[in-house]
Amino acid sequence: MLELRIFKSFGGFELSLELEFDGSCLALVGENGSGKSTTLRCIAGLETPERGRIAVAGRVVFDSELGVNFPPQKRSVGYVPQGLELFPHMSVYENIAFGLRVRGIPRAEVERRVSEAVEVLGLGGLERRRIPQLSGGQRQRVALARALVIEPELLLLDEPFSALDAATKRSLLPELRRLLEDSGIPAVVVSHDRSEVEALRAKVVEMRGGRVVSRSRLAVVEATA
Amino acid sequence: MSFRLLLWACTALAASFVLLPVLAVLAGAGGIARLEQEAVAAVKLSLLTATLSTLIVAAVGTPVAYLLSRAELRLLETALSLPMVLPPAVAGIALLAAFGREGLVGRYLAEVGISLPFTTAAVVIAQSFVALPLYVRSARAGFASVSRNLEGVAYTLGAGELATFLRVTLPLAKGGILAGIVLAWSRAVGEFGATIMFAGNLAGKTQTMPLAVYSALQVSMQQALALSALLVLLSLAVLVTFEGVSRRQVNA
Repeated sequence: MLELRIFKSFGGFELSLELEFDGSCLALVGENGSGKSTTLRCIAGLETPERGRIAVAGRVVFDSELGVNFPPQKRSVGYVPQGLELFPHMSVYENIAFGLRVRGIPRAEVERRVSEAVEVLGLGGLERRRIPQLSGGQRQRVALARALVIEPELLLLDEPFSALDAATKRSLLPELRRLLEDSGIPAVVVSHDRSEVEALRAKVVEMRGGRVVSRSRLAVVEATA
Repeated sequence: MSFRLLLWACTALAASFVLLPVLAVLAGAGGIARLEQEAVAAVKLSLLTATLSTLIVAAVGTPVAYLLSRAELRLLETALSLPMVLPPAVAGIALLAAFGREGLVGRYLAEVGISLPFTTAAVVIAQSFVALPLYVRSARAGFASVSRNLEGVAYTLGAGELATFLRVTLPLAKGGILAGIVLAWSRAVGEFGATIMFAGNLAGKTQTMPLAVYSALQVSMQQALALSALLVLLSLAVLVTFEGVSRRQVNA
């Protein structure tokens, strides 16, 4: 449940996008510099479009005509950027608990929800570890847990598997699909990779030069590398 | 001569050039126990004023450093660095011209009965003036090393700007901040030119250690040497302590 109409120009590049999405997983595919990551950052509230309207789960979070522009804190969107951006000075537990703690949620509930997320993402036993001590796959799981534990209305994943080796990716992909289905949280995934999109059974929107060039229900995108 | 030998030869030369005078001063350390009353007062005053100046500089400079790391404010950044390139004596005159009895701001302060020159407060002002840019530059570099994406993720997780600053940015910039504190304190404790111009050389009131060394030299080389040795040892202790603290932070 995402309604998106954005226009943004920067450095000779124009992002002009209009789409509505009501499924469980939407994939934005396309070459580097096609505006995929910027689109995610606009939805998350980390960048502001010049014009347009963004509604997440039926709630308008940005509307240039109405002068609505919710800050990222109020958008209820879980964002996992390409570099994951885990907090390097915190343990796995503290990373996952961060979004709950800053909301002032009581400690007992924080503990309950974090251990639930730890279990769902198979991070048991790693709670006290520091981020530099984790493998790539484990980091990916921590980033997902941190974004999901706040129970967002929408999950944004920017190239979630780009830093992982093929074997880790193969085992994580079906897991992510199940996770998205079980949690019922819709996701927008930026991807380069056709096999990823297929495995996630995502609806596909292909972008090029800041525009949508094709939409399909099927996870088949011949034009992308 | 091989290249490697040249490197070592230059390093040996530089090391002895730096260490020889320091060792010569430390040779006078035996006189520390026989320091006169006046010199002991200078030590106390220096520790007090340098610590106070560093606290002020860190309190004011930290938000400034963060702002400079996040916004393109080149002109402001250069302007704030000015005290670093000003000769200390000129800095002292500048402070007099601003906060002296006839100064730009000083004349209004005088009207309400506040006179800054030749007071202990003037010592702190002089030290803060020269130490501020050192702290700001170091802290700014610390903040600049913290990715803005990291802050962006914290925002999406519901953390406000202040909470993100305190829980994410500040702890990760600790290295630059601690280095800035060491730089600021060392600069403040060694401050001479601006202090003598703006605060004078009044024993027990504005006479800090460097000024006391200068005054002692007029009377006895032994006293000046002993006081200098104490200054070197104190600075060394601060340096080693902070190095230890910041290394532990990095390894944590």
